[in-house]
Amino acid sequence: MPKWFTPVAVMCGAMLAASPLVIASADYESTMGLVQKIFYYHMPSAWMFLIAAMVCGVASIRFLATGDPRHDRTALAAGELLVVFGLITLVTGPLWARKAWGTFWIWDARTTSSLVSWMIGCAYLILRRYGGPGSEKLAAALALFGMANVPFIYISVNYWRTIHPATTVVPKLPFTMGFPLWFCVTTFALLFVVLLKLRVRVEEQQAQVDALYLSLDER
Amino acid sequence: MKMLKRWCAVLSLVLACGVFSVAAQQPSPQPQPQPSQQNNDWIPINQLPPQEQMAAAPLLIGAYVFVLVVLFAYVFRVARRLQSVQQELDRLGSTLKQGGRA
Amino acid sequence: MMRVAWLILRKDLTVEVRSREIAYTTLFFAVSCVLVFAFALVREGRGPEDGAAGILWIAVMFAGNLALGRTFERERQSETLRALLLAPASRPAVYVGKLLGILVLLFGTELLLVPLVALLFQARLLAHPFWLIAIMTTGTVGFAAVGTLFAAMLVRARSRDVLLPVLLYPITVPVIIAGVRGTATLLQPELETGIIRFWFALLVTFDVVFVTLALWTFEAVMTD
Repeated sequence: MPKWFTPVAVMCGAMLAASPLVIASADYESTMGLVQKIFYYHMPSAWMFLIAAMVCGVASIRFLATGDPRHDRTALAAGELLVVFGLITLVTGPLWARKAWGTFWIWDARTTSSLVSWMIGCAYLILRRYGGPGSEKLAAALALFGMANVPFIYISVNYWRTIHPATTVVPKLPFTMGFPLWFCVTTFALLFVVLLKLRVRVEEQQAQVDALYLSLDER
Repeated sequence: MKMLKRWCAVLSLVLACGVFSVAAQQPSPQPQPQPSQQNNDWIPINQLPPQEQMAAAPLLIGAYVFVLVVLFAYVFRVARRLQSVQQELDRLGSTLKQGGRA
Repeated sequence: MMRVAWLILRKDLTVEVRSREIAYTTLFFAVSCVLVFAFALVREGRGPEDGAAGILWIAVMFAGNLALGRTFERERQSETLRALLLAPASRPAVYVGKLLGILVLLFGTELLLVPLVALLFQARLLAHPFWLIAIMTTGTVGFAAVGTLFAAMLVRARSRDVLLPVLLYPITVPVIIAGVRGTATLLQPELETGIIRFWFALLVTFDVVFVTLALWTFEAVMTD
C-alpha cells in the first residue's frame, strides 16, 4: 500500500466519526426541520455516485483502447463503489422524501435517471461476476454505453414533472449549513479514494496470485 | 485484522453517540414566517398541528444507520478478501521458494 | 464495406428462408405476448388508457431479445462467427450485416404486431401512419443497434441467455420511454406535432450516437 494510504484512511475515519456532531451543530432548515439533516449524507453520496460512474466509464474507455489491466481493475473498483454509493443515495433519498414530499418515490428526471444508472452499474457487476472468462472487455463496453447513455436517460425522463430541489440550492446555503455539507463532501470524497485504492489493491494481489499459479503450472 | 476490528468497534461507538445526540436535540424556536394571505394551502411544518406531523427521528436515524451499515459491510468484505488474497500470496511464495530449493 | 454487409445479410436471409425457424418462433412469441397482455389487462372489451403503446413496445422488445439470442446462438453452434471474424472483412461491416438481419426480422414482427395491438386494444395506431413508421423505425434501430452489439459480445460468455436482457434493458430505457411516449402521442385525438417531433429527434440522436459507438467498439470487444 502506498505511504499516503494509512494517514488518509485514519483521517477519513475520524471525519466520518465526527460528522454527526458537525451535522448536529447545523441550523435547522425552516420548512423541513429535523429530517432535512439526511441531506448531509444524501448529497455527498450522490456526488460520489456520479464520480464513481465517471471514473468507471473513463477507465473502461482506456481499457478498451490500451488493454492495460490496471484500467480494468480501476473500472471494477469504481463499478462496485458506484453500486454502493448509489444504494446509499437511493435509500436515504426516499427516507427524506417521505417526510419532505409526503411520498417515498416520485418518477421525476433525477430520481429515475439515478435509478436507471444504478441498474446499469448492477448489470456491470453481474456481467463481471457471471460472464465467465473474457467478460472484462464486454463489461468495459457496457460501462462505455452506460456513460454515453446518461444524457439520453436524463432528457427522456425529464419530460415528466420534476419536484427535486434545484441544483442552485448548494451555493445559496448559509455558512452554518454550508460548512457541514462541505465537511461531509470531503469525508465522502476521502472515503471514495480510500475504498477505491483498497479494492484495486485486492485485484492487484489477485492478479499476482494468478500469475504465480500459472508459473507453478509451467514447472 | 484485530486492529481493524478494534478500530471499527470504536468508530461505531462514536458514530452511534453522534447519531443519538443529533436525534435527541430539540428544535430551537425559529422566527415564524407570516403565511401570506393568498398562499393558505401551504403551512410550514412547525405550524402544523402535532397530530398531522410525521415523526422525523425514525427516518433520520434509519437513514444514518443504513449508510453506516452499508459502508462498514463493504469495508469488511473488501478487507477480508484482501487478507485472504494476501495469505494465498504468502503461501504461494513460500511454496515456490521451497520448490526452488528442492 | 456495404458490400460485405449486404453479403452477410443475404447469407442470413438465405439461411432463414430455408428453415424459417427464427422467424416463426419470434412471430409466434410476439403474438402470444400480446395475447397474454390482452388477457391480463382488457376488461369489458376495453384495454387500459394509452396501454396499447406500452404493450406494443414491450412485445417488440421481448421478441427482439429472443430473436437476438437465437440469431447469435445459431452462429455460435456452427462456429460461423469465428469464420466471419477471420474472414478479410472489416469488423464494422460484419456488425452492420448482422444488424440489418435483425432489423428485417423485427420490422416483419412489427408489421404483424401493430394491427394486432390496434385490434385487441382498440387503439387508433394507424391514424398517423407516417409518424408511426418514423417512431417505430428509429426506436427499433436503436434497440437493435445496442442489442446486436451485446448479443455478439456475449456469444462466448457464460449465462449469455439471461445476461442479454440484464444488460440490454437498462441501456435501452431512453428508447423505451421515447418509443412508448411517442406512440402514445399518436393515439391522442389531437396530434401534437411538437411533442412527437421531440421524441423522434431524441430517437434519431440515440440511433446515431449508439450505432457509431457500436461500430467503434465492435472491433475492440470481438478480439481476444
